[in-house]
Amino acid sequence: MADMSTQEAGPVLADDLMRDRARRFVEFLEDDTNANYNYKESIRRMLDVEQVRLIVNIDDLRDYERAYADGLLLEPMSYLPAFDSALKSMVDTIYDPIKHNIADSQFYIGLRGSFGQQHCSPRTLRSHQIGKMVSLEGIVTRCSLVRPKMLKSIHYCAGSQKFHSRSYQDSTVVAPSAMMTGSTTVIPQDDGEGRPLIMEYGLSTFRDHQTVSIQEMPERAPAGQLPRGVEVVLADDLVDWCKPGDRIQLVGVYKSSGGGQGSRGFQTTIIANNVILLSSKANGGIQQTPLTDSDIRNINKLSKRRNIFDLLSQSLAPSIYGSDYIKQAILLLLLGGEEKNLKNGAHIRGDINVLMVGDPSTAKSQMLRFVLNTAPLAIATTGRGSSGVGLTAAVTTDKDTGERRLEAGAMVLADRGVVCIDEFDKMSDVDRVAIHEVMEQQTVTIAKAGIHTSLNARCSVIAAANPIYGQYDVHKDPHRNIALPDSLLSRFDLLFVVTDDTDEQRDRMISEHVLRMHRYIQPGVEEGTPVNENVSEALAIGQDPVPAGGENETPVFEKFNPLLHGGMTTASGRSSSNKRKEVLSMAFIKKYIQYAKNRCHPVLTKGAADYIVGVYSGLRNDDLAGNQKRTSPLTARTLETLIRLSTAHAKSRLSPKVDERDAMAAEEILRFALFKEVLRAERRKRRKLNNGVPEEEVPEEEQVEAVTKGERERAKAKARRLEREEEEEAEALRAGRQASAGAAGGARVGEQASGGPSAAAPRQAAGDDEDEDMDGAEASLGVDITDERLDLFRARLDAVFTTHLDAQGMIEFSELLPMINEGMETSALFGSSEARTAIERMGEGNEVMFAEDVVYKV
Amino acid sequence: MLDIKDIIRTALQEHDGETGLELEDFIGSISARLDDVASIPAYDHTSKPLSLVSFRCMLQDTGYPMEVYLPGEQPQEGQEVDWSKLRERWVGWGVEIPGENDWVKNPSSDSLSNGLASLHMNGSTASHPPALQSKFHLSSQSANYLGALVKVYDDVSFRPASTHTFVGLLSTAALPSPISASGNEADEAVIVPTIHVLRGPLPPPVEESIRDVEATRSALLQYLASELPVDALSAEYILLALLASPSVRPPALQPLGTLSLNLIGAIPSLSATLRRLVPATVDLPLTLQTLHSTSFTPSSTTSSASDSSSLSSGLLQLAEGTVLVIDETAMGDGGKLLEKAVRNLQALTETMAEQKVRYEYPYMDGLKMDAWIRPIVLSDGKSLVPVDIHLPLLPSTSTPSPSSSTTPDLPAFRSYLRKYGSLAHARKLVIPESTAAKIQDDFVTYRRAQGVGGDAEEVLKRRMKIARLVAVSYEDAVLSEERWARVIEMDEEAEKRMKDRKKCGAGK
Repeated sequence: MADMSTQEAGPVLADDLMRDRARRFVEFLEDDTNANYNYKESIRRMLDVEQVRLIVNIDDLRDYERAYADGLLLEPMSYLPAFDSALKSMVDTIYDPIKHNIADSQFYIGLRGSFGQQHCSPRTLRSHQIGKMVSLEGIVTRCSLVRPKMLKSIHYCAGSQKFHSRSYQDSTVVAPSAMMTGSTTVIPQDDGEGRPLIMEYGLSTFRDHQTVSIQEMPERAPAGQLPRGVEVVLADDLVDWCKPGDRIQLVGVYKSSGGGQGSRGFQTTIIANNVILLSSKANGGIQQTPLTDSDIRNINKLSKRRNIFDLLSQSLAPSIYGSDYIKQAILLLLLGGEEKNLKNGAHIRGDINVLMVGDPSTAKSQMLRFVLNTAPLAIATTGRGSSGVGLTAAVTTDKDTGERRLEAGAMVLADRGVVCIDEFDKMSDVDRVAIHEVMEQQTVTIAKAGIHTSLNARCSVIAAANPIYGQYDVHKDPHRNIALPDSLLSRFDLLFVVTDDTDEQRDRMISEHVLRMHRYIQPGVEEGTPVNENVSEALAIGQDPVPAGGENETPVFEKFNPLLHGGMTTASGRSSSNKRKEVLSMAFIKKYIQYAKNRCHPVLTKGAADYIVGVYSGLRNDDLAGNQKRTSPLTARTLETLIRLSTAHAKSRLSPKVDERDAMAAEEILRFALFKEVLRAERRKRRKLNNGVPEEEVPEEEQVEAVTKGERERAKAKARRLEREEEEEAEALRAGRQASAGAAGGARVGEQASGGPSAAAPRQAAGDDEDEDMDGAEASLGVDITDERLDLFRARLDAVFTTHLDAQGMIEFSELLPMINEGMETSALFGSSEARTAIERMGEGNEVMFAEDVVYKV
Repeated sequence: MLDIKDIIRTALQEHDGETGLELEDFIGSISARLDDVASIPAYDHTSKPLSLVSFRCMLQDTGYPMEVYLPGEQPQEGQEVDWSKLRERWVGWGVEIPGENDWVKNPSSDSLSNGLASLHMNGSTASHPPALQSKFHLSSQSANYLGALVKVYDDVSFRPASTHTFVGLLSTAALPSPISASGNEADEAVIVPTIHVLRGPLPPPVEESIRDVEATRSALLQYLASELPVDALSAEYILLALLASPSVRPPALQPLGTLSLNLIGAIPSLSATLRRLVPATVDLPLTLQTLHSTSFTPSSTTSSASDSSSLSSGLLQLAEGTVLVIDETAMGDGGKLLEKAVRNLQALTETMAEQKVRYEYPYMDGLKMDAWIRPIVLSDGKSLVPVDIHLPLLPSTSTPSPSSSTTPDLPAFRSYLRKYGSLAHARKLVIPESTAAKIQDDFVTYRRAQGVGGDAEEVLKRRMKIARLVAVSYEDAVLSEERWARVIEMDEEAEKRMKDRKKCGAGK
């Protein structure tokens, strides 16, 4: 222990038991017979990149030695030091003295994998977790300065010419408590015989040390509750791993310090073991609602409906009366088109931008608020934003340090989301110039104060503006009413003019609507209703998040409430007499949009492309007869608009192809938005104002309608045929599986995947030979599973299948395991080989199909 | 909830200093007194440690993490703590209700003894350390307001700024703070009064029924008119504003049942009169200084950098149903508003419109909590903040003669306002079909008369707001046709006054 010659501050093993454990851990790390892992190789890689933390999947360890995995979770104080020292001794044997310098480093084990019950959030962290390994997620809100902490001090005594050493352990060190008793925090002043000591700073050992505060993620804090936080101690290499604002997953030991005596009480912290940044993950950390199996089934079922587009669009903002086309446009905006990044560096925008110009009190702002509440990432701002940053970005100078900082504005913050801009017309000229770039190129370029950079701002814009005279003057041309330059207007795909016009029928509806709102009584808001602490969590640490279970199924439809859903007009009954109004629940719409946006990437068909070209050239060549005026300029951007709108429309049907009917729907919306009639003074009394389509257009429109009908019939027949084919294929598939125990099924699955709209690519890879390879690997594992455990596994798998399975009836093994282990007692958790064996066994019994690390439901 | 004996034992053990008490006897006496909740004295600055107190408080900060403690016997020095025995309790910071009026605090005592008590209070207590001062926002009191750490031995959660009554044992404890604030652990601790909750939160007292509602209502109107003094219409509007409650919050829309009132003209005695009627009133003079020096929204970011887990209070963090008298006339000749003032005004506007208060937490944009504030704006003209109704005051017509000679029945007025201003009563609102049809017809005719570009929809919405409260001010909460007619009358009168005012202004 008092080895003077080195600066080793590694874990010191107290007794034989620890040494035994360390030996066992070494054996685990050396084990290269298992297919799942090879930590010897990982250690080598770790040394090569000069890191000191080896990330170990606890599921692997669970296979190797269950007791040790459980020990790590439940008694990390006794097991983790042993593991660390095992790693150290492995490093000692493996390292290459020429390449690697390990003299000054201490090595650590970081854990990932499934934590079962030990996964919690800052809100659910409870005292029974003290002294155990936990994993949790949150936002880093504050980081302290990095400070050195003395681990070991060396003192020189001039009198006796001897060295003395002392090591220091405080509550931030993970070690068995038996080792802590002897340590002190007092630096010795003399050698015990009255001779003074001089501290040798150069020889003493220090370690970096930092405290960060982690706060519950905003979307997970229960409504009406303030977010809770927890303190985390980061040491050595984990220091400065994260910065404020980062979303992280964290594994660490929950420890209590302080004696409990007196009023100070117990202080609790988490000593971090592994930190995983979430924001680096796919879709930029935007919270995705987990979709369950039944959700996806419902979504697919609903997408087959003929009126799905109307149903969806009318269920948006059901409390806003009318404005059907705007709601359709908002639906398309939420779905978005497809962006293209060409090889030459050009970026073609996929996001749809919408501008609403109109009279006051026409629910424009309400629409914005609705989008704000619906889109997964939406940022609201006004043209006269209060912050100096504005909409794009700004360089500011820190008052205290004089450091220059880049501050992101609303549009940069809303990257991959939606920006809602109210009072668009009142925007400052500076912002208006800046927004030009953002809206087409979707980047913000900053060249100011020595900072030159380009930030992504891939966002949709939905904006509302008032007309120039406060009231829309129907006798003037649209562009005289809208005080915005053409260059800006052309960047909006759709521009709606909303006028407030008198019409007794409509007035009656509006007043009825206002009344209804006042009669509406919120359900379940009696006072004293307990707060529902719904904390949904991702369970796998260090892996992509998987949907959490146990949540209630999202209802597809909401009960139609005439007091709330005044704006709804879709009737589901075939005959108009039997009108049953349907309204989709908001939660379901969100899921539908999320699914369609992420899963569905339609491609343009020849027919649709031809149609769009036709429409575009038609629009360009139209000589504008009489009183018909365009609201926004017609440029090449209009062509892109048509493509975007029809792509988004195809997404609403979950269709893999953009058909002509999508193009037609896009045209309909565009035409509505594009043409705003200008009244001639002499005829103003009799004409209806907000007809949208001028009279000259009507016959043509009807014709289009007819075409649409015929087209729809054809498309329907086609869809039916497609369905039948799919069914047949599925039938064949099932037969095939039964015959050849699933080995040959993969190829067929591949075929089907190319036909079906939402089947994902990974299935195609499953081939016979690979399967055999897999079998070989399995055989070598030699892990056996008892019947009891197999039954348990079967039950858990069943539960997973019913709650989590996606539409393809398949699941990746690495995703599956955390789900199986979710919420289980630590002692009952499955290791990866154990689970693999169980699945193999089930595969033999034809209960599931397992190929290429993917489990298929039979 | 943990057994009361265990709570007392834990509280004693954590109490600093010698208790000198026989444990069993103490537990016995406390338990006996718990049965009669009404007799337990209210917590004040003179309460002795380890005495049983009842504290009616607003929970200012509910964001502390659960606190871990060891129930029952403490281990001897040097002995290991058995971690499996540790439990957690809920900890929050409770403050006296901002702007709570004296008659609520001390229902029995008269004003004289009150004054004495407060004198005594000021003399005996030292002012709070800065960490605590930021947790109460009424600047006049923030130095020595009544506040205590509330520890609840149960799995509970409370909304921030909700009011509750807790009964418990008074002691002291350290204010929760991050251990790493400065690297030193012990010396930072701020020792504050603590209540170990034995009973609570207590349910609100049952409302006694009022004998003659109509009579009370008219007497109250008369009282308001003569006491302020204002004209009858203004008195009625003020009454409605006092009854407003955000009873329904439709998703993504503004809450219903609220009314914000802008009174144009001076009523010097408004606050004083309201103070006698409603439980809590807070004056907010919109001076440049207030706007720039105080923070309207509670915030966890602006507090001193060393202490991020603590939530400092904002002016808008008020108890449910607080009447907020916003005095715009205090602005004087105006001046330049800097960023902070603009933010504060924005927060005020937002709260008035949405009945929600923004809580500023790092990396959490737009965290808003439901609030319930009854705003009355006093101004010299159209208000800065958006309000529902602008109402120029007329010189009072009712001379303060016969009505003031009879002593006003204040208790009846108070219970009237409490009962009919409650959420539960507001939810009883009924709009009969016949009235609904009438409203629609009125709207259509009005709209036709207005022609294109009118503000008919706004007018309808405004009238519905008034109508709701007019209906609620009666016992049956029915919006009958006569009441609707009265609503139109009221609204038109207010509008007429605004027009007259404009004409006058133009004439000058």
